[in-house]
Amino acid sequence: MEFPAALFPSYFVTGPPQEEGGPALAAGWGEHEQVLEAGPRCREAGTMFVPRRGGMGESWKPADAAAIPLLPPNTSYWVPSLEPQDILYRGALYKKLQPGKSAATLDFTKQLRHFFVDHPEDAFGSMGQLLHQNFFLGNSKLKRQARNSSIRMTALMEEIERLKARRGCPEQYLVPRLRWFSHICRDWLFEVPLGLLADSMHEELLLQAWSGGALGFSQDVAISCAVSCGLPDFVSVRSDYHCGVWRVPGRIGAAPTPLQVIRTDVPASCLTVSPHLPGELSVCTQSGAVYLWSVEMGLQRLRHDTQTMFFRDHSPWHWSDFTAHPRVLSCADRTGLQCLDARAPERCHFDLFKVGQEAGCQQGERVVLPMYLGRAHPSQHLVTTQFSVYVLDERLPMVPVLKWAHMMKAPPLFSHLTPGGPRRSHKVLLGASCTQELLLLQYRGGSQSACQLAGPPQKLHSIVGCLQHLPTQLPHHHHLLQQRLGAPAAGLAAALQKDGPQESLLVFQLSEAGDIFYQRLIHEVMEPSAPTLMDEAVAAPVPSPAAALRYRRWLKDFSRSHREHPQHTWPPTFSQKRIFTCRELEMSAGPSTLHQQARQQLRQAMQEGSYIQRWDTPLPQPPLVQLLEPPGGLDTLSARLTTAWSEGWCQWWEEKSRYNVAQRRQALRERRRQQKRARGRRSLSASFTSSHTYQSELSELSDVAPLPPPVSPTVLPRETAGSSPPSAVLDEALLSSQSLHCRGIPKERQKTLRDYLSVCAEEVPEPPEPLPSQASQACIPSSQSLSQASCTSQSRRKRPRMGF
Amino acid sequence: STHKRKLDFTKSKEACLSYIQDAMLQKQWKRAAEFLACYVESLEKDFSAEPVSPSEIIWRMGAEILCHHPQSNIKEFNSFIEQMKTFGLKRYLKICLEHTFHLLCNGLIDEAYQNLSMAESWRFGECTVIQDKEKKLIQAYRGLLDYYSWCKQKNILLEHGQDGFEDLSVEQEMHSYFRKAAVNLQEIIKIPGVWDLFVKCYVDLLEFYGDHNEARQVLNEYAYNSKFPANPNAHVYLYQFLKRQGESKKSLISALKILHDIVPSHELMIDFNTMLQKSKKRKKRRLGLEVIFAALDYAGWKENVKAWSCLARQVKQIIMSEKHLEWIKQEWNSRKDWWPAFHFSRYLAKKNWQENENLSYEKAVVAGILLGKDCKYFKHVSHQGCKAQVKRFRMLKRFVNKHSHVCLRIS
Repeated sequence: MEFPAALFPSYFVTGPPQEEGGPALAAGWGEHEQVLEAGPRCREAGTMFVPRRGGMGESWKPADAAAIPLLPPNTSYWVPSLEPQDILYRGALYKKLQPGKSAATLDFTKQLRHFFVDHPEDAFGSMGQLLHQNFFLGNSKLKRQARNSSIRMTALMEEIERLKARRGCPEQYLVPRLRWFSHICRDWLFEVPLGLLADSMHEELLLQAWSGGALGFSQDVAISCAVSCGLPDFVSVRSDYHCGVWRVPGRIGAAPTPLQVIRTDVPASCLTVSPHLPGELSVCTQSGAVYLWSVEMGLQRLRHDTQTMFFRDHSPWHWSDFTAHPRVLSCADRTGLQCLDARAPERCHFDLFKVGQEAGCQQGERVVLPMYLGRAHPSQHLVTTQFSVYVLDERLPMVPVLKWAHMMKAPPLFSHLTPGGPRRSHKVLLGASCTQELLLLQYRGGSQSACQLAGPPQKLHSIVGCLQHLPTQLPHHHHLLQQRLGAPAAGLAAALQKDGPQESLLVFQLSEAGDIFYQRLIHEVMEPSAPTLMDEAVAAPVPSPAAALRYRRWLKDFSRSHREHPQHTWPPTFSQKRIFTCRELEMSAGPSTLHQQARQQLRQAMQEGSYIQRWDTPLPQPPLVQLLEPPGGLDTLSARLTTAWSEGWCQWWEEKSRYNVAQRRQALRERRRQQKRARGRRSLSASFTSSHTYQSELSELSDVAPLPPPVSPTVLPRETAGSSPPSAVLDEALLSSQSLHCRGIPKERQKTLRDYLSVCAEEVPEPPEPLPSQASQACIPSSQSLSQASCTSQSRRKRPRMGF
Repeated sequence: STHKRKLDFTKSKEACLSYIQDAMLQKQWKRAAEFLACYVESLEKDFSAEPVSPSEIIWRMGAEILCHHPQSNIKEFNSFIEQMKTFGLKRYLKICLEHTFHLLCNGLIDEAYQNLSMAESWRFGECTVIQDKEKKLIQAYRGLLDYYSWCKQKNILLEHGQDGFEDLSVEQEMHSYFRKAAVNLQEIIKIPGVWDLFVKCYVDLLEFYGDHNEARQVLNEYAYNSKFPANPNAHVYLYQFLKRQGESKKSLISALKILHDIVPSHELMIDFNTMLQKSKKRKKRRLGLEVIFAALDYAGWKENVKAWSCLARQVKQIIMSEKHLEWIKQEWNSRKDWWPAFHFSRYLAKKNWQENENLSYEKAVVAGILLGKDCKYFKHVSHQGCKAQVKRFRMLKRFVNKHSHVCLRIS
């Protein structure tokens, strides 16, 4: 392996970092850092010196205006991740911190966030103690003063219970609280005995209930794979306590075969597949143990140290990877990187990277992600911190061969390498989680020439960026989309595609919501002498028709999946399908005059900003009737009812029921006699079957009576005399089973319809008093619950007349 | 209201900065330049006590934009940087240094030299540690440019010297460049760091004037001072110097032995192995085998034909002589569990045969000896070789068959 004949000059100082400051603005711009004598090829071209940064890079132009969805939206249940304001109490504090009112703008959430990031041990370890006073576990109500600072846990638990019963019936305000609760639970949920969890999960699976949530809750899953051992390839899957390895046959479409699974007592924090040897992996646990795992030979522990490597900064996060030597593994924690020789791990190890002055680190800088860059150069490694990105060479440990302040808003947690061939630059993608930032860096060198950063870094599209290209949405839907698309990134990948002379790089980004978006970058071959004119050629501001189609399709699927799985943020909807069939709800040919009138009135009321007290009909009607009217327009039934209310019903009725009353009466008597005979044989308890039979009987009886004109209560049938207001009588007469039957309404619907209309009969509807079983449904402000409530009130009203 | 104004101003400043950043990251240099023009206002009303001053931000972003802006030129760049120098006194030296680098990369050596001279004469209060380092770097780069001027004069002189022509003034000028360069270069290389370029130039100067002791001392210090990082190049330079000096094999070997200890995968290991193999001492030949085995452990050497032929030759020698078979055995013992999968898989046999016949031959020799004639790699390659009627493969097959009993003793 060739080593560069000369490296860029740099000072070498040992010791802890001295520089303060944190993320410096614009720190990555405007520097060449150092220069070096150019190689013979460049010297022929006339340049004597080459810079460490700021050299020419390849041009990769985005092909689209924004990231495009690769797959339909992930339909599995997803709870948006916790936001700072979910954990922190807002009420009282917020009022005090209105911007401009106080002298100092104290962003408490931000401060606490920093605290959580910088001192997770203190923050979370003592969380219980800190919040102890703010949790109230009793049943009694909280006093007003206490309410400002504490949360009633019982209330929260009840709410969760109720939510279950409601099957996701939305209540917007609950979401942050639930998220907050889930966040608090995260710590102890791990301690639920796995066996128990497995049992109940198994049960749930048998019942085909939702179980994905439980799985997702208790274990993080990560996949890593290696492709460089030739065929076949190996894929490893890591969850908290289990690591598995699969063999993927080279043939396309062949199923992967599971090889081995190991179980760890401490959550595993890293699992990588060896790029050198088939069936070898490195495993790392949160307790600081590093293993070389061979499918054939088993596990070999290389290191076990709960302490961090270079200075004390306790963190359970550990990482391990492979190096240029198949028997040497690198292991990392927040303080740096070390290389261990598997043949003699105790004796043979060396430090590769250390947070300190050797690498020019800042105070508080910590390793966020190490990655072996073997596919670019066998001895190169990438290390990212919250401030910078480093390229290291195993052959020159401790001194980064490349360093660049990445200026990203969130630390780069994901990276991907696309190696460039000879004379080409290596492409490194850096991705942040919360902010979805995506950066493309290019570098070259490592063997013949020293490492150089090639060209300026390039920002790629983030998933949330496509929001502006989607069709305009209703505000609540927009918010929902924003939340969905803005979900933190969960991973990235890239693939180089060669289509003849044209090369394109496909970059995939995965979000925590499970959506995968991709973007294509097209390589433009530039003449080295040509000026860089490509810069202002910004990608088309509007998406291509193909992309627009994908957006629309994705959006359609997304809203459909939301309808199917009502989530908490979806506004309450209800269906009337169960009350009337489509046929029943069929609109009449054109809007009736009344309809038009109502419309006009409504428009006028809207213009004036006043209420609609009553419709333009002389009869006083309860406003509830209007509310209950199905929005589908007037069908024959509604038309009939409205005519009734506008006093024209009598005439209408006669028109509609033109058959011999006497004949009917005769037939009815016949039937009633038969029924009475039959009922006499039944027991008393059997006679009390349901209000339904009673009611149909009642209406049949009312049928017997001569049809009463609405204004003359003198001829009221005896059964209803004096007990019901006249309108109720009207209804009952109107809703006789026979008349309903001849309208084509099936018998089982007749009751519902009667219930529905009985509400109209009551001039002052009784407040619905839900039965215990219905209490949980009380929150549904739908016609269904109202009709149920009216049903109960009606049956109560009628029960005394049943003759018990 | 003053407070509110300050607050608003800070906010709009931040927003402006993020716009610039965004445009720059998307390579929209013209847009970035327009925003930067607005941001310059922040210099006038700088209320903040931020760690990074707006002047530094403007310098960094401005320089970057001007490097890429399609309409910028070196003249504009220079005038921008000159303005920046007067703004940021704290960063004056850094800006000077960066300006120099920009000029150097654009081939403007004389301007760069002037710039460095000016920066060197700059005095402002007491130097901070960083400024002191920057000063030393400025000095060193000036020394480097002096060295290039010296080289130029030297070349003129050498060319003319061949014609029998002597020019005193050129020679004097050359000597004065030498003095300036030597003085400027020797300072920085005493400080721990990576100074490959400066050390090389300084040693070249010293060697030209015959000061070999000083050169050796400088190189020894650079290679062996424990305060310096473990830079393989330091050992390479020392080795090359010793070679130029015609030093004994022993000292060359000891120099390379240390390089082998710190970077077993260094390309010079082939030279080292050849040198050791030629040695009459058994111990050294043993070390040679160790060196080549160790080099081939690394992924970067997998397809190195030279290295494989070195190993094949040595292994073949040992087998034929049937002496020191235990050397191979010892080396092989620690590798037999992973070398077969790493080097001698069926997949690699196919790949190597298709891509590089020489490589597959050398590897097949080693595989046949170490793993026997039934090894997948050997079988595939020798079969393919015989099928293609290549003579050496047939001979190889015969060789392995003949010595199979010896091979058995190894595995």
